[in-house]
Amino acid sequence: MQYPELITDDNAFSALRAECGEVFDTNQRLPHQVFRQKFAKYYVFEYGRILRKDFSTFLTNVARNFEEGAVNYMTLDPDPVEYYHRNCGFYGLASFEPNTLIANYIKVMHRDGNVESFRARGGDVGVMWGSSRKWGIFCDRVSWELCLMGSSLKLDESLMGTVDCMGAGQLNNYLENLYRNKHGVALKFLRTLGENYPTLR
Amino acid sequence: MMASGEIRLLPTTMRRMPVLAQSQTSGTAQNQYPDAIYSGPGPLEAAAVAGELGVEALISNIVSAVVNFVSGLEGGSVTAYSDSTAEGANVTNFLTDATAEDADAALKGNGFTVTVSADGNATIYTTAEGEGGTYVIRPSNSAPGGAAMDYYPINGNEPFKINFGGPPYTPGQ
Repeated sequence: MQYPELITDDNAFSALRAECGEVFDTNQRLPHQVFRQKFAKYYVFEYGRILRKDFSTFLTNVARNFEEGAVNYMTLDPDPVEYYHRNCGFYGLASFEPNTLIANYIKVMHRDGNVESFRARGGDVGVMWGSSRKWGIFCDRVSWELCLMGSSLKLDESLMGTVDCMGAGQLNNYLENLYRNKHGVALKFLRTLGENYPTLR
Repeated sequence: MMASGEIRLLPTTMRRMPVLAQSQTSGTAQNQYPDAIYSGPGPLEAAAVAGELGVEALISNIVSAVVNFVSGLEGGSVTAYSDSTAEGANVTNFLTDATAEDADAALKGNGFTVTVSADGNATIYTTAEGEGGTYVIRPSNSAPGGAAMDYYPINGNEPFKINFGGPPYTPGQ
């Protein structure tokens, strides 16, 4: 296969999905509690960040911070099995070695512009996590165009600055722009998010 | 008003295009910003002069031309688009009263190849040489503000998004 990061082996997929299940409650969606554990810090940034080339540098630095063996991405919607395995021959899950993230991240996410890539059809809702299970990023394009990162450690500001984390005011403004004709939707989301992740307030 | 199939090239600075006036009847972006828009060759002709323009300028021109198409298609109420990027956000958002169907027609008319995902929830547009980057249109049930189109340049940087079917956004409102 052209992209060895894409998981095709049944056992490898089962193991990684189980690992994912330790970090995320994959049945939940934002603004509800999507993490299995209570993290020390939460960060919010734009969904579009994860499809930029420089996001691989951010992930590499996070991986170094936590001494990761692997950094993984799995799409929740569309389903990694029902959609991806059935239609594409691989599971909707990619596992990156930290030392090749910079070289391969965009290639795997974009797959030369394939319509079934995680960038195009995939990733309406997706998750990223490290093999340490000490951090995770819940990525929601379809509803909120947001990424919520939970981390067991407070990460260096210079590191988090590379993804331009939003403060409460920015988040409010961002959502009100997205839901410009539905202010009630944005307000309800922000209220529930604040209840579930109080440190974001 | 532009004729269907005609292409106009904008300057190479795509980001932070000027916010258009809110009138729905005062004409196209061309009328409102005559100094910013000029006629030029279509993508295929433009490709022929890529060596002169440089690849980045070529890409930018094609991108701008498609956005201009979307905002100024003839025969409808499509008259305007605006930069609706939230303050502090990095991914540039545009809002237009064009529809996804308008964009689909504009891209096809400009030689983009169309591929649809297995479930029909994503349509991707590319050029044979890839020089035009990639556009992805998702239906209204796949984006917060309704149907939308993402643009991804070939180098993985600076994507932007066009939100369809809404009134042009007015900052501060």
